Amino acid sequence: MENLIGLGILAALLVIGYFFGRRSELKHYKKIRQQEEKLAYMPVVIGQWKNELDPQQSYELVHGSVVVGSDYFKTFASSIRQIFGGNIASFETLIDRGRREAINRMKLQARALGATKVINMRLETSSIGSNQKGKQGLPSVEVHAYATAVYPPELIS
Amino acid sequence: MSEFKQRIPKESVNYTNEHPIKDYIAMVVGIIVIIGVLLVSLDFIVGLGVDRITFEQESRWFSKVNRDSAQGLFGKEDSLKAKNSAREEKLHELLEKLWLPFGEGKTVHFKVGIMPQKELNAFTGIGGQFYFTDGLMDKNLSLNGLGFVACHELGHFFHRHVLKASARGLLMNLLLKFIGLGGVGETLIDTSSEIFSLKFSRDAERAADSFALDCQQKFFGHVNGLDEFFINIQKNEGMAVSFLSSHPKMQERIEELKLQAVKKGYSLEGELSSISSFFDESND
Repeated sequence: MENLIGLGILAALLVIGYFFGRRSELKHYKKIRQQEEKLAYMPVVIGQWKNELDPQQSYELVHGSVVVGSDYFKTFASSIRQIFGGNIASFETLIDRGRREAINRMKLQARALGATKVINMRLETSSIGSNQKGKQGLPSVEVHAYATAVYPPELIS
Repeated sequence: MSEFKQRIPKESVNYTNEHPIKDYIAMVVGIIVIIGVLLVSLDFIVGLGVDRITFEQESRWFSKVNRDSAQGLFGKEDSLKAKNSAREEKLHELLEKLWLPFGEGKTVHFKVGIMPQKELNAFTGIGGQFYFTDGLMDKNLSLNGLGFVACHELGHFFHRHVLKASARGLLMNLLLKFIGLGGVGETLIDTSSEIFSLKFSRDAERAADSFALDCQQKFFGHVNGLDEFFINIQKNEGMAVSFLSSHPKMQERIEELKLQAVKKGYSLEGELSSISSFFDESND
């Protein structure tokens, strides 16, 4: 009976994790795409142009960060994948969503400043609450996008 | 800088667009198959090793296992100990008599204990230790009924089930620790390994039942009373799912035993001996 309960709890957590995780992922992607379309007018590049910076323009740091949590199904699937090796497909969408959302948030900040473009963009990724130092938990990923926003001087109040 | 053109990034460049369930099912099935193969191989290896250990060696090696500290389930009251001490002696005698045709003339030092528990149960420990509950002893089974239970437990000792299960469990745990997967993936490995272990346990029960049939026939000259214990515990069996149970279903066991008895030509009818006649001998 104990085994049956254990198996039932495991199956229930997987089903809940899969359906709710999938639903929230699709919803998140929809929101990301809408934001990307709205913010597409603003170029984001990783080039520094140290020698070509226009002294007439103003520059300011902008950043956006996001923490995306894994669901039980993704974590389960990834830990099994570790045995066989290969692409951990279940985490790929997690990272992809994190990156795109972080860039969108950074662009939103740049837009609020009236920036016309964003240069020298960098991305940092770190894991939060994963299986570190013997602590178990569902992993989350933090993605931080930061860059230099370029905007015309007349916008400085 | 050339003129900037508005473009939306292409979808699914950075992630696989395949449905995750397909990949996942393949991996889960793979894990279950691997665990199954691993356990069957371990069982084979353990079997090779354990079969080289004689009954005498097993009982000698584990003779120092202290009954009270090992179980912690025995009554501490002196009156209870005194009551059970006499019954333990008779049970010990019964077990030795039942074992006689199988011991090949070699001495095995059994340890017998009666636990102050109401449930009807008996089990075998490592090195020829046998435990019976007060509930079973007080149930007024016939000597044949109690003899079948004792024979069944001797069957576990004969087939070295406890030793094999302990060695298999130890090796499997070491392997799992070595893999060190951690997290939720370990739950799947633990669960599938437990389900396979339950299959071993059910097979062991069937083998012990089969041994008990031969043992009962040799001692009593018939196998009447083989179902007494099962009938008494059948009502408490519950709704356990077969593949998640450590024991086969009671009704299945009774039917299987009767079928085996018929095949082996053992009589299912015969006079049942009274338990009191045997246990009161010592008090006379």
